[in-house]
Amino acid sequence: MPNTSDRAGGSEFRIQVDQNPYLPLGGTEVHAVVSVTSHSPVLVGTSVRASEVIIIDTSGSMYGEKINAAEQAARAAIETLRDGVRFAVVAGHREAEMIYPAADRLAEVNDGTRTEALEAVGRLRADGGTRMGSWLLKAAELFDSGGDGIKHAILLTDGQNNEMSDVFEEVLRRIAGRFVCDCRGVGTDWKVEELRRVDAALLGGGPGIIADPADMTADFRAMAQASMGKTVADVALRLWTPRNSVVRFVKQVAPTVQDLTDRAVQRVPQANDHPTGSWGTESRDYHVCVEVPAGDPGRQLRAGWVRVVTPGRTPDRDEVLASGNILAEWTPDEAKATEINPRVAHYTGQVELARMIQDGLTARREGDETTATTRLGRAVALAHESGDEETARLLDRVVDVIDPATGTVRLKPDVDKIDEMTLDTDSTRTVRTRPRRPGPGTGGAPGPG
Amino acid sequence: MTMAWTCPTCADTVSTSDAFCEGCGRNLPVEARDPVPHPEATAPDSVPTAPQESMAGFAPNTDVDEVGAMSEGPGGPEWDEADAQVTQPVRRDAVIPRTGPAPASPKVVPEWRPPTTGGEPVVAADPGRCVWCPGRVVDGYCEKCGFLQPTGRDHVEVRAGKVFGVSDRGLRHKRNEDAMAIRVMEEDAPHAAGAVVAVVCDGVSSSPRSDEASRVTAETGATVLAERLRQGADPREATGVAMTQAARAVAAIAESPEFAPACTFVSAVTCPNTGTVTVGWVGDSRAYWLSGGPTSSTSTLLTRDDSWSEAMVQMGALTREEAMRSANAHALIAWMGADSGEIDAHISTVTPTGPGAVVLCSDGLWNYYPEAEALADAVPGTDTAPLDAARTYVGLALRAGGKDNITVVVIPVPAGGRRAEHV
Repeated sequence: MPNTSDRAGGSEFRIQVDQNPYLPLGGTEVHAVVSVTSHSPVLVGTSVRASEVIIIDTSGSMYGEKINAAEQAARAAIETLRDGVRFAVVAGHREAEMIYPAADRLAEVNDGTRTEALEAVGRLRADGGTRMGSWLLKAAELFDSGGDGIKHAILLTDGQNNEMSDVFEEVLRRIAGRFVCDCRGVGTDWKVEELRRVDAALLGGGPGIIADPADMTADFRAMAQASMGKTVADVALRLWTPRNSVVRFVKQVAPTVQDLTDRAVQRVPQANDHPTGSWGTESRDYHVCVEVPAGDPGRQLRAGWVRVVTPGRTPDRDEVLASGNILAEWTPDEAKATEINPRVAHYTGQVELARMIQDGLTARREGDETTATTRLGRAVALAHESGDEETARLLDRVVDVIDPATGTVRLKPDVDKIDEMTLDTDSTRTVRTRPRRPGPGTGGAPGPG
Repeated sequence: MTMAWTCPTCADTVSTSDAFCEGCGRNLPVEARDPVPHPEATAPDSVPTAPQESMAGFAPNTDVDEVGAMSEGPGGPEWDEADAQVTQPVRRDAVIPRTGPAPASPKVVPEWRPPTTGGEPVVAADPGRCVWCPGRVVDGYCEKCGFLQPTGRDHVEVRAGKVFGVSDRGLRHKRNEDAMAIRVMEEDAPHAAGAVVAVVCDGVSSSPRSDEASRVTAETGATVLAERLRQGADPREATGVAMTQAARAVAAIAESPEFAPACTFVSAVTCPNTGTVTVGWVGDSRAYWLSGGPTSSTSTLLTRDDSWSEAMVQMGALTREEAMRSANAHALIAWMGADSGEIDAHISTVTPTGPGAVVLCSDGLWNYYPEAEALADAVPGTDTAPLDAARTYVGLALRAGGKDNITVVVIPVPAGGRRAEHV
């Protein structure tokens, strides 16, 4: 049924909750892994409204091989956009410069505009500074002019931002959640932390490092393809909690670690809506922790009611796409109460792993070798324990591992900058565990449809 | 608006809002931008384009006195000033003002007590409403407090005047087969003014439909007891009649003597006019007197179980400890039901010398606190906060394992009633 008011665009969402609902007497902390899966219709057609802004850093440092690779990559992305999508290409230097179209607006993809845009991209020149805040503001303005639907930007940079950090933070605060942005850093002169901040504010899929400019084209094509596969924009994870409870945290834990705790608005009583951006066919996992008042033995509590919603004009028009329960039940049976759900344990480890890598690398940069050795050692142990071979391989290039089980390591004296940055960038990418097979007594409630 | 300057190192053109020089990579001094009032700082045009409030992390404060100085803003002073700091290490990201709420500050769960009841029988009057709070019920859970709603008799709370009763399924049994009933006489009734009647029955789990047995027995017992008192009967006489009628009522629901629903019975009548407490019982549900103060009668068990273990102790065959360890400890030697034969109704009256509370309970509670002293010590203030006390007793029994259904009725007995002389 085309052109319905169905904001989910025919997508089906499912929620599954993994947890041990049993708490010891006096226990108050409820943990759960909430898996959200969406299935989009196979063909995403023109009925899905979408906008794409490609931002290419054209500061002086991009001169040569990098700017040529960027041109090719931008072309690949443009070729991937389907007809009817609104788009723009922006060059970023001291300010944001419109490359295509010339005016400050989005153009609609068709054979003509596609050809013109491919030509215009050939005129990129590397010159000037790096001011990401102003580039992203320009993108936000362009998206505002283009109406609703999926809003996605690709940001490529090779250097560190030359804006005062408070100015940059203010820009990120203003544009947070207004569109989704995937960030890429090329070379080793950019700062992982900066792109991570952009990624967090704009709900990207985690910043990425492009070690070899030659890999850029494939990467851009993949990002544009993923964006074209999105069907539902502005999806929020709504978490209702009982009175007198406190939400300790809401973290996306797969495919990347993203703390969403403080990113929430209240649209309906007793519930926080955490923005999650746009969705195609995909799965994401969230680790939720709620602190509730202790209850009597045998008492059962809905400690959290998780729903996937797309906002309507007013809260009563919000569309609920799926829902699930996080439960709590107090028991004197110690064995039942102390068992930790394997998925909760896994993601707790993955989040700690990311933190240990980031802290360890920061300490190493600051010359604090003792802290760096302990943190990176713990990271090695966690990666070993969880069978995270990819991270273990990246850690191997930064430390000499003496015993992976205990996390005994020695810092390598000479580390390639690219290896350090790859480890840092990829630290927030997690290894996903499969939800257990749905069976009786799951927290998952059936969604509509 | 952005003003252009020259980098002190390489003479490239830089902007005052740049963090570093794009030409030579030198970090441009951030300290020079502090909003500290400075005689030479007279370049309001060079204020970074961000709104003023974002500078909150940098501004010392915004007292009225400082407004003048603040208006000079976090502007860029002359490069001469910056150059004076060249030999010092300068950091770019000295302070990153946080946006949004502060992280991981110790959040404290607010003080909370168990959900309170409106005071009426908690068996939901309106099935769409939560039994503990004013919330609506969605999917079986309260939309406000989140608790799973009890179904039927899983957890029942009853209040009548100052008397409270709580009955809970416990943790091991599938059903709650206990029942309770409470009646309070009007203060201006011609007979037994202000008297309280309460009955607790514990369904015999080996008998069929024991939940129905306990409900019928408790309701009949309390109703008949209250009727007789209103008609002017003495509490002992009324208790005797009520027990006989209750036993008939439960016998009447049996399909056959082989298939007879059965339960225990314990009742209490407290009369403020005479200061007496009259208890009647069959089976092993108990009545306790819990002392409300040093001047009052000491806490004591008012009933004697109709159980195998009690019989062994009375005969002197076993010590109490030996008897309780036996597998037969809880075997009843008397009960109410079609298969019980003639019942031997026990009736006893005491007149406490001061305030306190009468507690009726099923063995789901007293198994964990058999001695009156221990029961009194477990929950202080039974006479002053009867609802809290009843709930706390049930909570304690659940914490201790909740192996059986638990029912507790707490009747506060005030001091200084118009007492008859001791009988």
